[in-house]
This record gives sequence, structure tokens and C-alpha cells, in this order.
Amino acid sequence: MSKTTLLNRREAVKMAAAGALLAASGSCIVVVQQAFGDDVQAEEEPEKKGDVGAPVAVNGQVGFLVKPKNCLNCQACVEACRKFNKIPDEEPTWRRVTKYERDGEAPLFVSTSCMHCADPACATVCPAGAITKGEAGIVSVNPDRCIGCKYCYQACPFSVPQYNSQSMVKCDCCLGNGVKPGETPHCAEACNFGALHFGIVADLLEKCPDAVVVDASTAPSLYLA
Amino acid sequence: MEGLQVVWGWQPALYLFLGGMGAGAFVAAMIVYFREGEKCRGTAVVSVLAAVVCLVVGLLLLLSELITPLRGMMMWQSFSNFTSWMTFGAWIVFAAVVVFVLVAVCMGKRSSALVSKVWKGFEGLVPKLARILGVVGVALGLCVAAYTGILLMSAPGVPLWNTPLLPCLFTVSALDTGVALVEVVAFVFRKKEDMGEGTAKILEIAVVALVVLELAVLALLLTSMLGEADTAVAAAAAQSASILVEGQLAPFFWGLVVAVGLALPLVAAVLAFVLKSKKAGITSLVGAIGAMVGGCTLRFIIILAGLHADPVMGAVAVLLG
Ligand code: SF4
Ligand code: SF4
Ligand code: SF4
Repeated sequence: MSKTTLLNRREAVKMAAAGALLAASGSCIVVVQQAFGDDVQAEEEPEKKGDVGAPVAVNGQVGFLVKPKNCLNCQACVEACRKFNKIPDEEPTWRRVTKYERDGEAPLFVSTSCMHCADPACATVCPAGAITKGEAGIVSVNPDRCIGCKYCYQACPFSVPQYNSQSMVKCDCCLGNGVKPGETPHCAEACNFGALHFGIVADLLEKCPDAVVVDASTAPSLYLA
Repeated sequence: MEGLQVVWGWQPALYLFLGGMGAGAFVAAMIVYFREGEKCRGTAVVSVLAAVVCLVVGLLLLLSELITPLRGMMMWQSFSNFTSWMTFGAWIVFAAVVVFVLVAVCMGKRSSALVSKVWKGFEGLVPKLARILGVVGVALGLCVAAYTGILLMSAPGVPLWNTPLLPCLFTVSALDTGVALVEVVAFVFRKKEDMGEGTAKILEIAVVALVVLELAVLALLLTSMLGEADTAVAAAAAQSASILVEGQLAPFFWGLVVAVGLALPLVAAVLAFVLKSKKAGITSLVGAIGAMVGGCTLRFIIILAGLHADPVMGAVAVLLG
């Protein structure tokens, strides 16, 4: 089973330094930097699973492409999420790095948050209609409508929804802190090692056609490579 | 509580139990009322009122679990998204409470006399009204019973719940605990009202049939979950099922659900069937209490064992080849 680990600060700094060296040698980074303008339209056309690399309209569903082999668990994405979304220290962040043990090899780390699913079960089950799938396929919650029944947690295959004293909270691709729909959010921006990419799913897949789609009934917009 | 589902605590578990039992009790009370009529009026009215209390307490428990209960009480807004089973459920339970109360008013001697004072034609309508509302109430009751399971089934994040067998299990258990509640009420009224042999037999037969059915559904549910796990979802399902049958919840499963909640009522019902009526009262009471304890435990352990899968792990495995 998976295990979430948080490294202590010193270890994290060491790892970051090591990673920075690697980065400098330019050996392992393919930073997909997408500068999307304001013209990203709301489009809810679900990405078909297995539609790898198929040409899709530019303004489609956004998603994350994670490269676990590049991830050093430096927690920069997690800290960026905390900082820009002003998440208090006592509350968990909306992004987490999960450790996957491997026999005889170094463990793999995978950074995840909400997958902004094509068919978000969280939104389907929300009795208050507090969760909506909006522009660029981003799934977000309206804290003024949420009653805090926690049904969305049970519905989400990824245990993403969390709760503070007011409502459900989760990743909204940084819409809440001013990033425009489709623009690269702070976590992906913060990753120095090319382990966390953000973009229109079709574009991500074009650059990385072998990416593995994470399979779940909600058709998540998360790919591993 | 390590390794168990704790985001939903005891309130939803108790809500699902009370909702189911209340719904089942109404159905059983109608069987008694329409078979025995006047003779068992007290048993039937008190059973219907008990059903109302169960549903109302259940709804209050649901509200108390919310982060913002006050906002939750504005039902027209907080339960307005009709793609959610929680929305349907809240309104169905609400409607059931209203209909159950109306049925109780029609059935009660004093209440119907009171209404007749302000509404002259009421008295003549009572038998017809009670019948129509009774049928509507039974339909709503069955919906409530099924809904308690559908609520869990429609959460795709939890493999143990995400199966049509779960509403089957909860519906059967709802009827079973409902019959038990009516048996308890009948026991209290045994001196005043003598339930006819036929109706008592029907209830005993219902208990036997429901227990056998519940055992079958439970076995089917668990065997479908246990076994080879080749996907993340199947692995989580297997883990949940093994928590129930051999893990940390096993004592509750075997002791309270299977032994006290199913085996005991089964034996009691069979005994009551063959015993003379005096002793039959006590045996069915013991069986009924056992059924309630088992039904309540069942909701708690199913909620607690509802683990999430980790679909990302599957993708990691594919990535590594
Ligand atoms: S990952 Fe979970 S919370 Fe996010 S959109 Fe999908 S179902 Fe909803
Ligand atoms: S906790 Fe809030 S967002 Fe989640 S399902 Fe309930 S009302 Fe909707
Ligand atoms: S996109 Fe924004 S809100 Fe979502 S995990 Fe990244 S930093 Fe947090």
C-alpha cells in the first residue's frame, strides 16, 4: 500500500540541492511550459480514456502530467499550494506527495491533488450542488453553498475532498488565488525537477504520447510518465 | 480505529440504521393494522409513532454531522441537486415522516376525533384515507429502506459500498429490524391487545424469511469482495471484506451481526412458532432485541470498513511495466 511521507526540512533542502545540480546539468527536465491566454473557453467535452495523443481542440480539459521518476519529494509543490492558497499550518494542503515502495529499488514519489475528472463523482453526489465543473474543465467548490456532508469524500475515488471548519476544500487549479483558467498554477510552477506538469490534456499527451492515464470510473485528468 | 473509514462517524451509521428500522416498522405496522384492525389499534399506532421518531432522530443526526447544520436545514437549497442520492433520500425521508404522521392521525382514536371537530366530513373518510395513505406510506417506507443502501452504493470511491448488493442487504435488514420494533411494541401491548394467531405467525415467518435472505445476501456480498485482487479497486474491496470477517471488526461481525442479529432471531422465531402463545411473547422479544442490536452493528461496521482504493497505484504499476 501507499504511504505518505513528509521529509524533514533539512533532508528536503539536501534533496533540493541535489536536484538543482541535476537540473543544472540539464539531464532530466522537460518542462512543459504552457502560456495560455484568456481565450480559454469553457468546454466540458470529456476526454475519452485511452484517447492518447488524439488531436483535440486546444481549449479542452486541463490536467496534470506527473513524472514520478523525476520527483525527489522536495515538497516544493505542496508548500507552494499552501502559500498561495493561504492554507493555515494546522490544515492539510490540497496537494500531497505519496510514496510508493518498490522491491529492491528506491521508492517512487507521486504528487497529486484533485484530478479534475471528466465525470466528477464529487459533483454528482453533492446534495447542495456546491461543486461545479467550469471553465477548462476545472472542478471547484462553492464554500457558501457547501453544507459539509462529506459525501463528496466518499464519492471521490482519490479521497481528495478535505474539510475545514467552514466547508469542503480542495484544489481548484489556483482559480481562487487569481490564476486564470488554463494558466499554469503555482504547484506546477514551483517544481524544479520536471516532475509536475500542467496543461491542456491533449497538449500534454502530444508531448508525452506514452503517458499512462490513471484509471478510475470518474475519468480523471491525471497522467503518469 | 487505525485503518478504518472515519470521515463519516457514528451519526451517518445511526442515521442509516434508524432510517431503515423506521421504514421497516411502518411496513410491519401496516400489516398488523390491516389484518387486525380495531383489535390491535394501539400496537399499530405506537409502532407508526416509533417509526416517525426513528426517522426524525435520523434526520437530526444527519444534520448534526454537517459542518454547517443551519445551512443544511434550508432544505430547498441544501438538498437541491437531484443527481445526488442524498438529495432524493432527504426528501423521501421527509415525505415519509409527513405521511406516517398523517396515517397515525387517521388511526388514532383521539386524534381522528379531534380532526372531525374541525373538519366535519373527516370521520366518514377515515377508513378510505387510512388505506390510501397506508399504501403510499408503505411505498415510501420501501423507498427509504432501499435508499439507505443506495446512498452508500452511489459513492464510487468506496468499493465495499459500490455494489447493488448493498441496497439489497440494507433493505432486507431494514425490514427485519422494522418487524423487530413492531414485535417489541406488541410485547408491551400484549396484556391489552391480543394479536391474532395468524398475524403473529406472519411476523414470525417474515423474520425467518428475512434472516435467511439476509444471510444469503451477506455471504454473496462478502464472497464477491474477497479473493484475487488484480486491480486497486478489487484490492480495497478485499481489504474491506477481510476487516469484517477476520480483521479488527470480526468480533462485531460474527458476534453481534451474525450470532446476535441473525442466528438468535432465527432460533427465537422458530421457537415462538412451536411454543404456546404465552412463552412465545418472551422468545420473540429476545429475538427482536437481538435483531435490532445486529442491524445497528451492521450499519456501523459497514461504514467503518468502507476503505478507499488507490487507483494511482495501479497507474504506477503500469508505468513501471
Ligand atoms: S479527483 Fe475527486 S474531487 Fe477531484 S474532480 Fe475527481 S472526483 Fe472530484
Ligand atoms: S461536503 Fe459540501 S461539497 Fe461535499 S458533497 Fe457535501 S455539500 Fe457538497
Ligand atoms: S493547482 Fe493550485 S490549488 Fe491545485 S494543488 Fe496546485 S497549487 Fe494547490
